[in-house]
Amino acid sequence: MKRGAGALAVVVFLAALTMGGCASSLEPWERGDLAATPMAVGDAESQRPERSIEVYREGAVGANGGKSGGGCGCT
Amino acid sequence: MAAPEHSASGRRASSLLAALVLAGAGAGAQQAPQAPREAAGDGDGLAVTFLFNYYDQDGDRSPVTGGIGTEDLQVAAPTVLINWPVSENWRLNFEVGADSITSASTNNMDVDGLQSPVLRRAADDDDDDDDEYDELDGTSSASLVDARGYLNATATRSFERSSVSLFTGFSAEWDYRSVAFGGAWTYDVEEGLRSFTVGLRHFFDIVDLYEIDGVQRGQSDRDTTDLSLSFTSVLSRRAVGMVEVSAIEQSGFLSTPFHEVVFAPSVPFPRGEVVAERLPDSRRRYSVGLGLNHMISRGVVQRPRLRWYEDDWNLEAQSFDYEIHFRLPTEREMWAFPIFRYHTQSGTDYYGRPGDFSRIHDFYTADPDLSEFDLLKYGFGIRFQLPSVVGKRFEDLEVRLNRYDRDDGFEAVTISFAVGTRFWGGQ
Repeated sequence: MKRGAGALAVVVFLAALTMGGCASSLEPWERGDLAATPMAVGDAESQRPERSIEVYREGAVGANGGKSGGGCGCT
Repeated sequence: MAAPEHSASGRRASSLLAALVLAGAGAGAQQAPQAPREAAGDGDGLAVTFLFNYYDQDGDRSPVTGGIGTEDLQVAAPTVLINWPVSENWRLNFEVGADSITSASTNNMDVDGLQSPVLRRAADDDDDDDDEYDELDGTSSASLVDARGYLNATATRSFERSSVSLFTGFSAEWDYRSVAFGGAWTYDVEEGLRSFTVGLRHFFDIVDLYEIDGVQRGQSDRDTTDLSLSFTSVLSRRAVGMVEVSAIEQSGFLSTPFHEVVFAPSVPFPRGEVVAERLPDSRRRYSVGLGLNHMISRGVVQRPRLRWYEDDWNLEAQSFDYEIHFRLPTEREMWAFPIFRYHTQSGTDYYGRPGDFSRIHDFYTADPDLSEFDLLKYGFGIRFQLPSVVGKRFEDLEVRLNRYDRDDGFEAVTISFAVGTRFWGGQ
């Protein structure tokens, strides 16, 4: 727990910064950069296999768009 | 994504559906939140992405042979992703795939039934610190091939300020079958700037109990419930932030029945008794993730991700992913990006090397994925627009090549290709 607590504190702190820094409004013509391909919120489709690999070759899962069950074809 | 429906009835339907979905845990039908995607299908027309992945791993701590055999394994995995905007407010998504696996599991199970450690010990060419277990190698490493097939389907209904998705899926492999149901509700907190998603998935899995002698002795259930909450916010005209919290509960048969553990030497077993892995029948897993997409300057975008994880098997982990995308000065849009990931985890209380456990212990495993290790992933990706092809529109190609290095000797390489096409409509 001690090892993870520090990292969790960092995550919570950064999350608070994130929430505190929300834009209040953006006009449509101000949103062009947000439409750039790498600005997409989710993982790229080509990244899906890597997420599956990481779910099954690491002991951790969740909070990154990866799967949590359903078999893996990886034994 | 479909255009919003501007009506009071739409709002009422949205609220009702959201309530039904949120109350639907008993029916086991919700999907974990999926952040809005800029997939090829987020527009008009049927969009199809052809995805192919090749994966090659190796190591010398296979749990199939008690933590001291080869982990050599390759997977070829083609997948087809379909995004079909059926109407203004409805969208269907399908994912169909098949994995072909040369399996360390089936290759090295003790199918000759000679479980006695006096007669056999499964360790390949390992000649390091496990010498006492290396003398009698009874396994074959002829390449057997396993396969896994799966189908996932999602239906999404968009409303004025929200959307509801229902999900179902099925997968089957040689010793495992799974049916999943789920749903998600996304609410647009502030038009186009902030959204909140809650989702739930439930997996009903059946495990064929192939034991360490290779003989099947019945079946058992494994259930996984996955609840996720996520919040996405536009921070500025060049930055988007994401936070996701996930709680997962697993119950049922969580061991892998053909994973071996070698007990400490004893009088009747001077080389150590070989038994099947034994793990608790429940596991609660919690994680918090944070992400940022930040355009540093026009044509340079960084994508850091941080994830904290903990479970009640006493495994803690932290992961940091980082990609920085550079737009290249080409006529067609082209992005190139290095990829980096650092993952560190503590081992569970139940992990041990050969000889660490004995009959006095309740739970034990030699699965190195549950051990303490640090992992580095590094690689390279490229994404570019393709020229038009007669009759179809091949929109873009993305390639990702990565290597994984773990400090316990495990290493892997993976390469993925994704080609997006559109069969009608489009820009």
